[in-house]
Amino acid sequence: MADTDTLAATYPCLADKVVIVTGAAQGMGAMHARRFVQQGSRVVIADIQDAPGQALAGDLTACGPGEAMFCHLDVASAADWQDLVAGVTARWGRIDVLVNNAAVMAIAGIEDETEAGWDRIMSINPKGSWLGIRAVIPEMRRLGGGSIINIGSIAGFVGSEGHVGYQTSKGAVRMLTKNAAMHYAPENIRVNLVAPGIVDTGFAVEAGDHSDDEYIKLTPLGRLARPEEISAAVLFLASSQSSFITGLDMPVDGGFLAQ
Amino acid sequence: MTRLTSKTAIITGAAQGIGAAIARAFAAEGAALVLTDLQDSAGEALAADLSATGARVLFLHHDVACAADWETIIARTQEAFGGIDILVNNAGIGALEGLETETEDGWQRIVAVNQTGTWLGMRAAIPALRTRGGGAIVNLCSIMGLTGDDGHFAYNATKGAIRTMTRNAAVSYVGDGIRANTVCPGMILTEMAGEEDDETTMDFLNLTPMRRHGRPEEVAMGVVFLASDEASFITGTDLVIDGGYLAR
Repeated sequence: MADTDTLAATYPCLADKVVIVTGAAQGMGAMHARRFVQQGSRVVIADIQDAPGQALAGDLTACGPGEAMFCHLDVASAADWQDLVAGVTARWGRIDVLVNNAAVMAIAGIEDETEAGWDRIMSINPKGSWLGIRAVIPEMRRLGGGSIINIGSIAGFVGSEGHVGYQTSKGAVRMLTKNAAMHYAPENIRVNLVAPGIVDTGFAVEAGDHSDDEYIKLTPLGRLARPEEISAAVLFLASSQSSFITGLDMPVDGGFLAQ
Repeated sequence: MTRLTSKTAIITGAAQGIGAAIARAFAAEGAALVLTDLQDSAGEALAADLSATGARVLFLHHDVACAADWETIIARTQEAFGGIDILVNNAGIGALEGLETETEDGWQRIVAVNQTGTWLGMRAAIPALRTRGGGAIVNLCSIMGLTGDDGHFAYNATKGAIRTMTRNAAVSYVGDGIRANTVCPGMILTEMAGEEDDETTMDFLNLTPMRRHGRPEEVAMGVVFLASDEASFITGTDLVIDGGYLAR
């Protein structure tokens, strides 16, 4: 079993690669960052939360064999993205992988959602992913290729009660992925979607949604995903082992969408 | 490369093409292998090759459409390696005919191999996977199991069936710790792709955003991922390896 202490898969191709993970200060994003550093990658922990992001960067660098640096990033800000790309290329000279992981959740339904709430979620989930792709493409093009992984959700595939902003935003991220995959395939830049089910990070529960127990009942596998199980899919798609895969939806959902 | 160490896998249609690439990738990841095929000499040669690199591997003659053959394969696997952890239903045949030109014989033949063979394999292996406390089934499907093609009617039909059979197995056996997923290749450089005429091939590549064929090894890596514990939360889904064909 994949767990936090052992590294089941090794991807020598990820050593020294420069990887940006947004929303990496905590939760699933922090696990992605940790896994990449364990493969020897150089990881940019991009987040609006400076203190935990800086602490994680120090911790991961100490563990090695890769290294990590923290960059403050509001994914909804094009100027922040510009600064981030400039800072990363100045320090490490390249960008190979982008993981658009930063996201916010909202549980309101069509009649309860506010315009401010709607605009906020759209500015972070799909717009943040778009701005990220737009910002890194020139560097990937210069290198002759790259891999972009957008984190979607099962909520981008099937309807549920409430969650109108979240569902719409994750559906948009899914189509953004396919658009970008089409557009950049001739340049060997692959763009794929990892669509987690409910992950044991407290993300959904903290948003005031169902309890973990209710989510477990909805998942055929009968448990929540461990963050490292999502990271495993992200690493596979970042690696050269997925070199013919682009525009893919990869649910990591314990069978949620299969029934 | 130890993602499949201590696992035993059965791979059907392993003598050539994508099946042989899967066999090589599994051997490199440390799995014990039972390779099966109708083509004995190619299958035995591959098994000898892999044995020479230190892999534990057995080749067995196998008609996947024959239930009795499956009984033998399962029994021989358990005898040789003590159990089964992974089943890769890879054996499949192509069909160029369209809806009106397909014959009943042609239809029966492709259904027998692609669809019935996949079912018989799952039926035969599931008790052994259950005994082991779980396992992984990877069924080779196709992008033509997810979308329509011009001609290739029976191929389209059977690959669509593989997709939903896989979901059925995923939902039915989740409680036994058995995961079931498909891998859906696009146009891959194999003998099967070589049966197509040049015009069809060019049309296909023009519809593939990456503008090239996939390599059998690129499909094999997806099968390794799904079969390994890396994919422990993934069941009932399709891993599409198609250079972006379906993203259009």
